[in-house]
Amino acid sequence: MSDTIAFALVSPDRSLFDEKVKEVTIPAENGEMQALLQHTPTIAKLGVGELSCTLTSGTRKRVVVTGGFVEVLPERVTVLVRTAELPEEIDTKRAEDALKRAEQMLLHPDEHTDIQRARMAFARASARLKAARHL
Amino acid sequence: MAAIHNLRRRIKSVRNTRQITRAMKLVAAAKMKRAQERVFHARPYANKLQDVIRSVVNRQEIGGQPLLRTGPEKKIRLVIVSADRGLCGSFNAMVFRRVFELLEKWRDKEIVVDFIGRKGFEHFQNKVQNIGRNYKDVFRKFDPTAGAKIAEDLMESFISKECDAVYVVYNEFKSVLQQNLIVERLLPLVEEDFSGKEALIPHLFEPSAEEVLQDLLPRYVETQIFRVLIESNAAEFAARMTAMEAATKNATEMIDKLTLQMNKIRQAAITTEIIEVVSGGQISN
Repeated sequence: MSDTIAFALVSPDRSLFDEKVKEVTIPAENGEMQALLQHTPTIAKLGVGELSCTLTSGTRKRVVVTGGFVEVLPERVTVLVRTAELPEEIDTKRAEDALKRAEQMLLHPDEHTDIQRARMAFARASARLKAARHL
Repeated sequence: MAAIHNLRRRIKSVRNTRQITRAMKLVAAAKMKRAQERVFHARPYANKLQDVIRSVVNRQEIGGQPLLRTGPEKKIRLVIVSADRGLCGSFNAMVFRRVFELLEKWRDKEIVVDFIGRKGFEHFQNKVQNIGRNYKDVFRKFDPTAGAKIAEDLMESFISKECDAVYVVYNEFKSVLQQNLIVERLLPLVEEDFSGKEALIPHLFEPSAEEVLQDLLPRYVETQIFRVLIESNAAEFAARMTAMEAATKNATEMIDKLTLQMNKIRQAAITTEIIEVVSGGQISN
């Protein structure tokens, strides 16, 4: 039995991870979950947020994901995301602006405000900023 | 002299054609490179998604999902993926031949045919009875949503029991020199028989099996359609490139042949002239 998890993360236009890891922390729709070795088989919908994993070397890697699925098996984790961004690709300035905009919309909603969308935007922007700060 | 003149004209025209085929080859090569990259980037996602679906159906009995409905295939929807343009060797012809075979094989079934790509529609519009949808300009602009509309139509047709199965015929991009013709069943999603279930622990679903599958299954169909489109697109450019390269080579051979012929005639004319001059001189002597 291996003591590492085979971790793969793919988005429709590229493959971001395909390697052995010790642990993966996944932003599922209903809250964060952590997959260690021998996790029970699970399929979950992904929310918006920061996904992180610990490589066998001990380094932590982060990536911001929005929507998709994850399949957790005892020795394998497969993540299928709709979009994914690595921290170095994130435009901090843009994320900050987006965060402010979403904040304003949530604090002072008028009848045109789509609360659901504003919440999503807020979650996305804060996940981006959080991941970018770890760089 | 008239013969030489004609030959010269022909050489010129073949040379012009060669210039065109050469340009077309270069264009196809450039476009193929892009399409090929797209295929390679999209493959991991499609493959992983397929693995997950397979794992899902292997680990538990799934009921109530309309996309997994199986039963006798009486009404079939056939999606023909061809190119919008010709001049790509046997690319389209291969598809047409295979479709005819399938129509023959499914004689006793009700078949509706959908078209992606202009050539297929033009070829079959008067040859098949039930024409479904004809998707135009799919290959002109490409984005991940390109397959979404088509997938939606197909799923709707399947769920409303308008058809019992959806098959798609397309060219897969194997390599620059090789395209594989593929007939694939798109719906229903899985094999009819899962009695060979391994004794595996069933999945936990978050938030619920219903919700996950309602998202996951359509997503899979969409991805499959998108994959078919980009594979076919890359294969088309590869086929066109090969065809145009062959055409360029043939044109070069033809020019050589015609030039040789022209030189021979010219030489013969010169020889005749010399003989005339020499024999004329001899007489006057």
